[in-house]
Amino acid sequence: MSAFASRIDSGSSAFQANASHYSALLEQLRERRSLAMQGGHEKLRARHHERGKILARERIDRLVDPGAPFLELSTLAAYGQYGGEVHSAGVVTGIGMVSGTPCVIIANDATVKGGSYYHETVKKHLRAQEIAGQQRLPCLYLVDCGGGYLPEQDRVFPDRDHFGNGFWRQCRMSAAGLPQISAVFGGCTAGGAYIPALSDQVIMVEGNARIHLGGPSIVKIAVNETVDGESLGGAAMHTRESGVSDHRVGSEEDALALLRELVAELNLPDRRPVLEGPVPPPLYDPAELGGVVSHDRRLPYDCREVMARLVDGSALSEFKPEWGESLVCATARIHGMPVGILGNNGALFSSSALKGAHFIALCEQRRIPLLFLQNISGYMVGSEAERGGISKHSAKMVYAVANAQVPKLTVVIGGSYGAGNYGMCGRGFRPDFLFAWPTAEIATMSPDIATNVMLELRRSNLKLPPPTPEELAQIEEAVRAQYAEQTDPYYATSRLWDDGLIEPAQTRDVLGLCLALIATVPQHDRHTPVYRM
Amino acid sequence: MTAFDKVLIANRGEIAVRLIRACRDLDLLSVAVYSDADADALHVERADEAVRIGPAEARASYLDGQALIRAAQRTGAGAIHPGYGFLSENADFARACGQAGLVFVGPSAELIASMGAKSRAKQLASAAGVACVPGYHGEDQSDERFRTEAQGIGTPLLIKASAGGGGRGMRRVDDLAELPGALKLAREEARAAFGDASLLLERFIEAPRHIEVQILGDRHGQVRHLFERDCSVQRHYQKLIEEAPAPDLDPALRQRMLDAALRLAQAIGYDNAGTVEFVVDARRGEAYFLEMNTRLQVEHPVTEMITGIDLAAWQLRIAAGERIDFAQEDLRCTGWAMEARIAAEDPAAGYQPQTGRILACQEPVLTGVRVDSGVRAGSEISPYYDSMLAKLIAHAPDRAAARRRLGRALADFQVDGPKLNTRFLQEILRLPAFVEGRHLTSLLDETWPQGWQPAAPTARDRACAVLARHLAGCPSGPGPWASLGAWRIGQDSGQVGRSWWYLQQPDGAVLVAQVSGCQGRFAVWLDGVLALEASEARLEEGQLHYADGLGRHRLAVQRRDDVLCLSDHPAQPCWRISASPRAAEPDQSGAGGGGRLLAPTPGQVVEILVHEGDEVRAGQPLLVLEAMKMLQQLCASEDGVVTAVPVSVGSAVNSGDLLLALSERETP
Repeated sequence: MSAFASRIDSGSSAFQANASHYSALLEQLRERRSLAMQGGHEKLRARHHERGKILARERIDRLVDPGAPFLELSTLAAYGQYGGEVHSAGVVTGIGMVSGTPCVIIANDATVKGGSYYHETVKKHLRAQEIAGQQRLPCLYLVDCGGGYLPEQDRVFPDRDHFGNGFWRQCRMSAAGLPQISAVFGGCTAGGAYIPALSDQVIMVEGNARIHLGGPSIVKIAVNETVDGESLGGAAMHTRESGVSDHRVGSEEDALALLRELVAELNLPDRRPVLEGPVPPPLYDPAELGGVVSHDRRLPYDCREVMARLVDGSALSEFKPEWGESLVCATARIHGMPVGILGNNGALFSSSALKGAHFIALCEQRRIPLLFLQNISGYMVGSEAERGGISKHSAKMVYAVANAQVPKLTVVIGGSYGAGNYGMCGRGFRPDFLFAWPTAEIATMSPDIATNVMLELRRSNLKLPPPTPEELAQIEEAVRAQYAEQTDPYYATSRLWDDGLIEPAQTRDVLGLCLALIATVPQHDRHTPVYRM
Repeated sequence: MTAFDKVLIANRGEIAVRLIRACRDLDLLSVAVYSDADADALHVERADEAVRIGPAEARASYLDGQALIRAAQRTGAGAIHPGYGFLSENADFARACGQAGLVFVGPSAELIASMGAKSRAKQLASAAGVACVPGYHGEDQSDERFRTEAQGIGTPLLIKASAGGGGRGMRRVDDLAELPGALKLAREEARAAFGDASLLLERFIEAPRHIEVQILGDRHGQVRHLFERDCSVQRHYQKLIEEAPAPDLDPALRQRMLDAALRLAQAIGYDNAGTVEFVVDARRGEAYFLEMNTRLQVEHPVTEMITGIDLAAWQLRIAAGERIDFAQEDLRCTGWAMEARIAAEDPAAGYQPQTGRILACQEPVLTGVRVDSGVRAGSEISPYYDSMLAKLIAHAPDRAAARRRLGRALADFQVDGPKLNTRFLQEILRLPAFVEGRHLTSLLDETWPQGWQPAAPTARDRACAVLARHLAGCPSGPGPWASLGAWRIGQDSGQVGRSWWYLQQPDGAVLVAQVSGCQGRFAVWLDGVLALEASEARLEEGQLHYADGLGRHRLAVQRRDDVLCLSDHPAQPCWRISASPRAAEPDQSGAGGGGRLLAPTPGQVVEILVHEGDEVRAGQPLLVLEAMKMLQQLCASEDGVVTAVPVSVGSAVNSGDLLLALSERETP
């Protein structure tokens, strides 16, 4: 494995143009992220503090080990929806090191709409649980929520992947040996009550925590009983009488400290990766990535330049460098952990697809996690391609991706179109983690092609009179508007099509954190043959 | 004279180690003795043989003469060296050694006895023409007689109660006209305090210095002096810093003292090492005999350094009958030597002894610095014996250089374990009066009338401690989860990760500290106030390194789990810094907490002041504990009723043992 020799000239005008374009995108991302991560409105946060309560992310700061990372997911969930007020979808999720054990943390933010569950809140909650299940991590619930958001109940409650699924997952994970622990900071009514009730262990904070299936007003209506919240479902009652709670603490800080103690006693296997020697940083500064990636999608760039800024020592060991060149396959290390990287240098041809399938099989045999760096317009079209069997060859790559048992990571760095999205392990192919850069665009096809398709459909529609130029212009405008809106990475991340937008320069660290978890998931023995393609 | 080739060292600690070295230098075999508390002590390891002589209590071990003699006989030792303290000035023991056919390394029992009796020693000194503090100790208690005597003594003088001590019944008289009135008052006070109205007169020494002369005599009638030592830096009459020669001393007075000491030693036929102690009135330029110590002194190394004479070796050689082989004229005083006594005690808390295990010990390695130590890493500092652990002796061409060298040696003496007095000693070395060599025995009392208090730790000190705790507590091991620090997805968006630490102050209050940053760059907030911004921060071998706007800094830190101490800081502050507010809560197991009185240190119960069923008030003394020769009164922290007293007078207790249980008083 040798260090990649970069051809990037950071003084060139192309680099400078790319960099300044990207820095504007980063500024926008930081601004939006900063606002989202502040939680609810200033007044609501002040009221929260007045009640002796700590903000969700501050709770997490106190919960995770001092000087240890917290990998927060989907900070911009629900961005731009519901009037832009449901910051981070009202729930903070991520993976943090607690008492030396990596844990999934799901923390309601009561300053955002009372912490109630919107469609994206549910989705984010479930996704965090899914990660916990896949990576075999305990779940810590910092509960402070008002249950489902009733005006949206049809998008929150009934379906397979709605609110109920979270409880199903809690039960199943507990059975699978993944501890589920709740610390209750506020009210948990109705559905919310089951988060602690279905937890292995429960801590309640005196004064603020409440657990009840029906709150005082519902109790009054249902059984005509007048009772205050504390008597009905307070920490003292639940810890001393009902036994719903195991521990009663005087403050939120004590609850978090106790939670740390409980995690310290989980008796789980050590998840620290075994690494050889010191980890060299990339030779080329990851901060240069903004200048590497073309600001104009039509201008190609070498994806090795991106890889070289993500991997240890910028060292890449390329597979089949002279065959199927539009797909670059290379093994490398990130933060000391091996990874097989697939990156796009143009549309995928049959040869590139076969090369990809072969490389995936190699990594599978060697248990090297896969990293897909998506910048893909799709598989090649045209008669030559079709005659060459592009459909079946691309299918082999898709097949290989779908069936690969090794962990998979995907970063959408540019376009993610059509079947390219599948072959490069898009969301539908269940990568362990999927992150996107602010330059990501996910769609069935590019806006240009989509417009042409729609115009062609209209022209060939025999039920209607031939279209006027005005109508065609209208169609084109509508399609372009739709694509402009829906290919915006904020549209995608808002709907949890990814696990969050990340900055290019953060990518190496984010991937390192994920790989360290992935690398230490207990694996059962399974060997696969290598099919030479 | 009796020859011997094996010597039993009837002592412990640094002096035992020192004497074993002297034996080795003379090709003599050494036998160490040890109590149960010292089974793993350094002196035991250094000796050729070691014998257990009894339990930890000194009176049943190091003070048990018969046990020592039996040990010598059993191991075939021909001589016993008593060191200092313990039985070193016990005439009966010296006699018993002789009767058992053992050579006692020291003067004869008769000499020990006569010098041990203070009045007899003064008579012998006067007879030898050595001046004692002028005074009147007669039986005639008439005012008339006192007036006559007072005229002879001169003013200022002190009237003291004959039966007294501790300043009670003591009056200073500056003008003889005041004498009758002062005598009347002093008699009344003496009678009230001691039931005895007898008084004595003594000249008041206005500017006292403690200067002593080292004597060495052999059994062939030869006596030499090895110049003087100044030991004026004292606390509670215990020497802390000694030097030789004495600074700022009139050469004529110095010669008079050397001559007087030699005269006294010759007059009484002194043999072996001894010290004639004087109080010098710096104002009058007079020296008065105080007493003679018939043993090796703690501070003997300063004399060895300036004369090149190995006093400990000569003690053994003289005891074996050798003749002193150097003439008085051959002795030269070369350069300046200064010694500091390192003790496990807290000078900021009334010199309270400190106990515990020494986890790590770094001795200074400097040219011209001698380390006489009785401890090493792993040594347990028990409450049974003197708190002095080691001595640092610096030798240099002149006093200023010796003083600087000693300061450097103190700074380099690093111990991870019980609190030591090194920072206090360093500060003494910097006092102007000491720097100029014009200090008196009142130096410490005058400098710190309320007792020494080190500079209080600042917010920055606390922030450094938090940072060190943070660096020590950060995840370790391979992988990004350990190496990335408190990484957050939003850290470039102004949403930085903050690590929370809870720092428990000595008064129990908890400071909330936050640390942000990673990879060497950190900011520390205390209770929400930014207290430190550091770059290049790292913790390496007990040192916190960091840089800030002023430059690079380094400070020594010691950590034991959550407890972090700044050992370079004069106050050597320690804080419990925990990631959990629960751990930072005031320690309920401490003395007086939760209605339970627990032993704060290991020690022995010497007095129980209450009985079961007694009602006690907050602050009322309950029990007296003796630890390391210090009495400690333990008081009730709250009102209550004594419900149990599981210990009795004489009980040996360990730190944390229950001494007394209290219940809340029933409210009427």
